[in-house]
Amino acid sequence: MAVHDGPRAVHVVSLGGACEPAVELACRAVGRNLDLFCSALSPGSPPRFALDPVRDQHDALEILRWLDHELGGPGEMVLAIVEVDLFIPVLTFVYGEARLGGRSAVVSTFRLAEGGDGEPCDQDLFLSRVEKEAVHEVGHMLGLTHCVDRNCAMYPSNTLVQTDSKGPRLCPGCHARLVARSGGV
Amino acid sequence: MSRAARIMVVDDEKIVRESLAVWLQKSGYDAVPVEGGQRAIELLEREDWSILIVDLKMPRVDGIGVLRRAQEINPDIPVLVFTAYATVETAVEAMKAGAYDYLVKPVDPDVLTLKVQKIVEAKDLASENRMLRRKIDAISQFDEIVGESKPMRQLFELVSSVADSDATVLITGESGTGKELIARAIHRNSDRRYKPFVAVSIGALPATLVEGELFGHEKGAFTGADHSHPGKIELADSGTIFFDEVGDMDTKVQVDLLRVLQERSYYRLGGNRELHTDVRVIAATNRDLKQAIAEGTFREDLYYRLNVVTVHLPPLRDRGNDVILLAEYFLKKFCAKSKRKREGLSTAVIDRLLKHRWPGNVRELENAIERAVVVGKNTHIQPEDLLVDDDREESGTSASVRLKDVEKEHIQRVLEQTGWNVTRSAQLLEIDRATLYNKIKSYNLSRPGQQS
Repeated sequence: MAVHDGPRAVHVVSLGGACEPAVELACRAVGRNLDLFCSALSPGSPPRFALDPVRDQHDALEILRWLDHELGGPGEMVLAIVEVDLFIPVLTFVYGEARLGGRSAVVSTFRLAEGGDGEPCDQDLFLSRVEKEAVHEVGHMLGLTHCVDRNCAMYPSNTLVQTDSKGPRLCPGCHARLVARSGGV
Repeated sequence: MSRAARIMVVDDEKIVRESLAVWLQKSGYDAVPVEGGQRAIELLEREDWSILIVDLKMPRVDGIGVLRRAQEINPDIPVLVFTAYATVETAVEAMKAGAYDYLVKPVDPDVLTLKVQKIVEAKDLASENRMLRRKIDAISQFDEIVGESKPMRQLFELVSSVADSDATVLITGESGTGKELIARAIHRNSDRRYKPFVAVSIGALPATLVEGELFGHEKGAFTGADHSHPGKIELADSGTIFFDEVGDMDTKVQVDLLRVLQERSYYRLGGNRELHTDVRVIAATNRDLKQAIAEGTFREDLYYRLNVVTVHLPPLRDRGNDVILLAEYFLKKFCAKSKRKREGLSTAVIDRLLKHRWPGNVRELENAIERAVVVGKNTHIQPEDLLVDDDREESGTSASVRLKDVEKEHIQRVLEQTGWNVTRSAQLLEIDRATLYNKIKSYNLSRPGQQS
């Protein structure tokens, strides 16, 4: 079932060497679950320009601004995957950031590798988290807000427990909203 | 909330207010970034807002200034105050000025999500409460009580005048006259109407269960008490508790009830904390309590505690044409319920309704009309659709004795059929459990192999 009028494209780019399987998986999950044309761009440099030395974290909004100017063409969306920890001014951290209806999004893998006991989690769990957060942020770019369905990719993630409890797919309600927004059938 | 909560995010730094507003918008809130305190006050004066999020340190009008003005404009608006430099003084000042909460930047996203969710849920609940109150107010005072006869008009006047007081009320009347409806009408017309109304068939409760039922129990109070449990009195707190069939109460239960009425305090079973209750008491009985006192089955002190105001419900046979109004009311009710079309009562049926003595009162009439709606084949209810006992049976002692014998045998048979399952038997007999318990007691019925 085609969700969109025409093939809308999302480019996924790793900034600073986020692992290749993560980029590949994110790309596939976004394409499959949101019915978009998705491609991986060649990796870019780490986003040092966004570092806040006081917080020792990277400003997610600076990265979005940079992506808006530097990558993607008209009608295209860009999702960056970074290894650095992200924040927005009021919050201690974010796993990812995107504006509703915007054309750039970013997902950080920094906290997604955490295991329960302070050790890193296993690779499969890490990759599934990246996959879900990627679909979630691209969903925001497509105009979707948070969902109350705990299995839906648009369920908010403020903790890894929330991320782990949801899936990479949209619930029927969010899927219907997506179809309605894009005027598809 | 039926529409998204409207959240004003006030900060003098553009990046801060905009990023927070965007973050909230992604959760579906209608979040609007607003630059500075002065602009915030202008918008608060002009528009409705659900939540205000404001930074403490701002030039000219600071967060406390906005908070104070917001409280003047709309004291119900919850205000979350943010600060980058927390001090005890500023926190105290913000809370004193009426802030809902005080948060230090940067805040954990989960904490902020939960705070906003909690405010929105509380506001939803408040608006649901307001809607329910409007609904309760819209129910006319005596909606379910149909009657225009003189005794009923006098009754409505009495109910209206006692409702406003907090006096204990004793409702008397034959079975089936609608004592619980009157109790509910008193509650609905009282200042306690938005609080609970709890009905207890106290006459049907065995003495061993009454304490637990009325006072509740603490965890571990007895074998199987896995959780603490509130009693009916606790559930009715600030509202009205209705004790039905008080004339049939066991003497031990009478003592328990008297103690609560006198002391207005009690303990949960297994508990050592004294609980106080603010509850209005309404009691009902179909017995002649004065006679019961003379016979030594009802405590005189309890009678005077309960009988502050007496409301007597007339039997249906004394209510003249009310029987026709009631029959028409039930006809409409059961036609709607069973989706059958009956246009009215035939003249012969009206005549029959007026002549019958209705020993089972309104409940008997209700059952008769329900049956007639279901089994009748004509557009108007016909005499053959009405199954009412022949009135000759109720005049004369010898006939009355025979009817009692028939009833006793019938109840015994139904009980045996259900293996003495009282709930199931009461359903089959179309009477409530309390009435069945009374009948078992008065007919001295007992399970085979058990002593009565």
